[in-house]
Amino acid sequence: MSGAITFEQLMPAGPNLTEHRHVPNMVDLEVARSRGAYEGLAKALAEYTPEQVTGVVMDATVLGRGGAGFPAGRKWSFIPKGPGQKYLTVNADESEPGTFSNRELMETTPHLLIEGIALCCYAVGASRAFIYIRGEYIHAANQLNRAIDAARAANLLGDKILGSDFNLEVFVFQGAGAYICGEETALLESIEGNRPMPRSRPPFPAVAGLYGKPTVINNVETIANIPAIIRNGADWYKAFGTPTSPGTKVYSLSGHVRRPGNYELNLGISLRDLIYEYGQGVPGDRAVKVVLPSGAAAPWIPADALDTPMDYDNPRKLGTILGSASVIVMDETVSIPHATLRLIEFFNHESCGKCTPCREGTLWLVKALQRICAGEGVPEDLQLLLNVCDSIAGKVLCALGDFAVSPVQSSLKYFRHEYEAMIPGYPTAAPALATD
Amino acid sequence: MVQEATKPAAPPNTVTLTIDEREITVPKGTLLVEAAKSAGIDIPVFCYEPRLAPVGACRMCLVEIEKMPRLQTACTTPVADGMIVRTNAEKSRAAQSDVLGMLLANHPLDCPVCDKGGECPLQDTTFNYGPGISKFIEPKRTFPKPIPLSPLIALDRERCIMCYRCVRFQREIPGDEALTVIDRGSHSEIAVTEGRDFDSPFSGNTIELCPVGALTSIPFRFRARPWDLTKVPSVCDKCSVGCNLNVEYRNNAVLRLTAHPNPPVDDGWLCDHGRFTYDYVNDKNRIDRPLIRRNGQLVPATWDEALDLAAQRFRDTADRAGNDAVGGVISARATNEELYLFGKLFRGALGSQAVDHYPRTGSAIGPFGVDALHGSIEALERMGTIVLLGVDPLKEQPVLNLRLRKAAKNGARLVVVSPEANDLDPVAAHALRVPHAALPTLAATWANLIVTEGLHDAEFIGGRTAGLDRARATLVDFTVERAASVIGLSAELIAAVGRALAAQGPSALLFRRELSGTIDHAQWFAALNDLSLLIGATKEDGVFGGLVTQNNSQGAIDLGIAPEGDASPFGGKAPSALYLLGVDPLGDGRAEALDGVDFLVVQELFLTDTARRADVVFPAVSWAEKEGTYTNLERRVQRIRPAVRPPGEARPDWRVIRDLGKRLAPNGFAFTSPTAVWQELAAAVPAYGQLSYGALGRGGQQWALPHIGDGNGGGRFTFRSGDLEGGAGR
Amino acid sequence: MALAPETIAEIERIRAALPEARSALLPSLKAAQGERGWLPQETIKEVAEMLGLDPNPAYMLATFYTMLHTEPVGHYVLEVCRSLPCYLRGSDGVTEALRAELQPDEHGNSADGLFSLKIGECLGDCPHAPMMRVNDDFVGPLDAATIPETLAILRRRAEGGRVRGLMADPAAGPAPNEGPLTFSNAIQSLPLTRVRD
Repeated sequence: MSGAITFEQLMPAGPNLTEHRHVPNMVDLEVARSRGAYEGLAKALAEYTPEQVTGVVMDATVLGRGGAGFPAGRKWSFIPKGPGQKYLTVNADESEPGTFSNRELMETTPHLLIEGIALCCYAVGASRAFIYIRGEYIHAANQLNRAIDAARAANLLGDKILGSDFNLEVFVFQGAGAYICGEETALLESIEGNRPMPRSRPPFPAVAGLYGKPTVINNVETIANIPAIIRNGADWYKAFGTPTSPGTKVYSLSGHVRRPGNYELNLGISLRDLIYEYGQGVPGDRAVKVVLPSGAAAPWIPADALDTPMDYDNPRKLGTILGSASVIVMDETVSIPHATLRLIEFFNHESCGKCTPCREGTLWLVKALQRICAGEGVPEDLQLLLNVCDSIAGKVLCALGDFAVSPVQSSLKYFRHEYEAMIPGYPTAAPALATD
Repeated sequence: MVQEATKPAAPPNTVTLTIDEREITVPKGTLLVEAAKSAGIDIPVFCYEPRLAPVGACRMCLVEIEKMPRLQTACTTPVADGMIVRTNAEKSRAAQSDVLGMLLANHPLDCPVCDKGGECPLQDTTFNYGPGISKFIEPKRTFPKPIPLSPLIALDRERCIMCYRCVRFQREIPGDEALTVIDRGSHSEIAVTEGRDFDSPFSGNTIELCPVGALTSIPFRFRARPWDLTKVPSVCDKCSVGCNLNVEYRNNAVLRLTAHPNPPVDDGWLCDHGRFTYDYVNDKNRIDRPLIRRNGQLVPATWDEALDLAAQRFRDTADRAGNDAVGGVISARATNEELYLFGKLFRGALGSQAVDHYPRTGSAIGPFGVDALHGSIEALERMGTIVLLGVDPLKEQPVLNLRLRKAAKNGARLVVVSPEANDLDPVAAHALRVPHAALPTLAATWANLIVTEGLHDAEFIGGRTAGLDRARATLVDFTVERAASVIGLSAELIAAVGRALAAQGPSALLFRRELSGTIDHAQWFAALNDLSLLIGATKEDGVFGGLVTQNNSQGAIDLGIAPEGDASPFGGKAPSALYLLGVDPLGDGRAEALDGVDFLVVQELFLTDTARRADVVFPAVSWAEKEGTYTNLERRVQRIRPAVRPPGEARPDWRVIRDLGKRLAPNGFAFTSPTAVWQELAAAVPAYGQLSYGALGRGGQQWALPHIGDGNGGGRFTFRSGDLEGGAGR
Repeated sequence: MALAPETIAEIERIRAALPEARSALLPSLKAAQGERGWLPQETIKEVAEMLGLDPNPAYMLATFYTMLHTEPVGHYVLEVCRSLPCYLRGSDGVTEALRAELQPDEHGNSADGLFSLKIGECLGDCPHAPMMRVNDDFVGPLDAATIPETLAILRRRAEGGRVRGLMADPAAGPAPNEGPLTFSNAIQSLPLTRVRD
């Protein structure tokens, strides 16, 4: 419009999810259809039974993109067959620090998500779907609503879709500022109008989810993968990525890189390539100090492990995970205790307060880290931090609490000396050995 | 299902697992925490409460389960066959200690001034499972100290450990949202909307549910330490449910009432009216000695003076104006023993039939020939259908309302028919607004519909009932169209709900005995009886009855404390003498009841308007001061026990009646205790004779209905509507 | 003050689109907040009663979610992201600059009632770090040095009667580029400012 080259326009288009990221006005149904939108849905309704759709997705091995990596096809197969209300809820509550790929997908190519929703609902027999989108994504929600209205007008949603017996209504449910709603059962509680706190499982949502009915919950990117798989087949999909991590992934790169942004790449790309080839390196050519592979949540990857392929398997060898593939890079100038405090403040701010270890433990960590960062730490504090982490990890109700300890544990594992240097009178008689 | 068969087969629908090296067999679906409890293994909990849905919030009950990498919360994990659980191994013990450390981190530890001190699960659990020392050196989270949530309950947010029991209770049990949690994370706090009270009729239960001193009773605050109180188990006298409670007292003052769970009756709940209404017991203005009227003034007298005067005047009146000119009315809140003695005083000693209870319960004899509830309160939980006609349990039998909500939660379809909005409407399958005057028509219409469409259980009706054909002839005029025009609801709706009543499965029908307005009660009861048979409410698994309202209305019915023939204690023939025990017609706006009374004896706690008019006033004693039994709305006879001494010279009511009896009859009043009265009563009333007096003090016992006494389904029933044509519809 | 007819109509539309009244609570509170920017107790109560619900759960939701405000807010709610990606790019300096300019009171409100300063967590716009949310819009990358100019633009817009959203009418296309104020959520109009050392 203004003729200026936008930053996003420099982002390469990927082979699947972001193929049309630069096409103007993809919210317009005609534009989207000219690029193949809803061909997958038409094909499925004409040629596949619901079970066959699930079968193709299972064959393609779409691993959940929200972080847990659970195969989407298997998740769908848990939904009971037969009559009765079922739901799909799409988790678009993208709130982890450093995650922003779903927003771009929804803003630029909303029909991709809606077609994926229709395919999933057809497969599992759901007649209602909710897109739970974080409240701050107002423009993305507007784009989705425009796209939904257009799709309904074209009989791609609503009753008897494309002349079939398949009916579907999609509702964009906007949150209002709460990271916890990204936890799938808290998300259900939020839609139900309850205090959004995670539920205790069992029962699992596939058995008793939204309004107590069987419910599939998938991430935006997971669902957005489906149309191309139905159009092109599972083998086409599996040609991307690695044998055990098929497909592409949108890597969200942020922090100390020259060109942060979303990059749709084959699963298995190394952090080094991501940071230096796509992100164009660190400003000032400073050294990478450490990398957070999945937002604030996952254990860190030290600078000497940048060649680790970022797929579903290899990060595990470093004790961490691919997660949402939202990579935050910290360069050598960063004070690790301060950065850690900032991460823990996030978890404390976002703790729903339901379970004791997360509610009290994150507050405790914040208070202790604040003291350390203010130069008021005591030598016992480092052991205390680890003890508090032990009191949280594995004892909380949902994953958020488990996530919250990663920054403290990782930072103490790799950068303990930075804490020690901040603590007045920390015993230095026995020189600390490198921790790794 | 495939099971390893190395051991003797466990009963079906059970699961065998190992907890702390002990093999335990429990029903399928049991939660680990309950399975452990059944084996005497204590797993510490805070948020878990068996009557509320588990939430797994506090994480106190983490246990190790073999083959599971993470510790699991025993409160949310159902048992599984072959599960091997450790509650006391190093990992679980460490977790329990860690969680307690977290809970205590921001807890004020102001136990010395905390009302919960001494009965505090947080204290006790810390003693048993907690870390010896605290590692928390940060400043604690603070809130301004207690804020009143209502005139009854104060909240101390610093002490709260966010177990959500209170909020869960309100939402799950009374089904209101009188309490909520605001903010989030470490700022979460229990709250109500600004400018509003925690205004639930069941709010007091949250005080007992609270595992810390966050919610405390304002009337009880700082009155005593729990260990200084003496507890006496008793029964609430505020309504006909008969919830069990502890009277807790110190220095002869009742300081609080707490639940004494008797699950079949109350599920361990109390309503606020029952829990908080006790100040009158301690009131300094109570009548504490007999009074007699001298020179127009009520002045203190000795017991002998007062008793002699009353007995003399009763005798004189009977001699002068006939036995029925001496009347007596006793409160329906009196004990069975008092009722019995009262009846004996009038019928036996004075030969008067002018004896009654107040408020008077209208007769509602079931199709089995007895005026009592068929079934039980607890049985309501298992109903498929529950029909409520004109009753308002929230106002009249509050804790029964909770049972009905529980039934709805268990899947019962509630049909609520009432003249105005009913608390149960939101959980009802059908809520119909019908004025009292139209209820008999509606009941008859539904009966007619079911029999006309053949929706009833033909085998039961054919094999166990009589008189259907005659009833049909009477009912045939009650068409849905006619009902629609009378009631103002559509014929379709009336028919649809009527058909729904006939669905198979255990059914309950609870109704209001006395309808306001000009009602043909004979037709009302006949229609109810017929409907109850047609929907199966009088089968072995059903519930049927007219709800009584007072704590011992049923006892008054059972003991026949009602006038016979033309006799009437109230507004009778002048001149007459009247003895009122716990009855205040002037206070109740029934001044005409005293018309023509020229000698009035009143036995009361306080100098009521009626007592001020009396010639003799006896001090009465409260329920917290006496011994005896009450019969609740489901025929359950339960014992109450004296906790505190009555004030001054006041004597137990039974003694006063006995002492009058001794003065009016040569013998028959030589009782030495309420127990002795019970012995005679039980011998005189066959249904009561079957009861074990010991059991009455341990949860009570329902007297057996004759028609199901044999347990073989041998009871037979009669349709009543057919009797109406002959005009004999009583 | 009762809800405006348009808000009531919107709440009714929301209610009709959802399976249960309670689900409509959060969207309806947001719709009600749209009127005045915040939720007085009476409004919370009114919304709950419209849906046939107790006000307590509405109050609970209004205090749980950061985007709902139970205290008055200014014409612009500025939510500055403090999460790690923005922190690494200097968000603390931006916050300090905003504080210095706005001199907010204990509730974060500027004396002129125009601004409310909130410190928030990640808003999902990390490529434009450090950034903030201005009502419905994302603005970034921010520069502590140009914060006074950014605020000056916002003040001018408020005076010009251009209401809460920065982009008064999204359908009319992106707002003109007014200096350091960039609208990162209008993806296709972003000036290229990213590559910098």
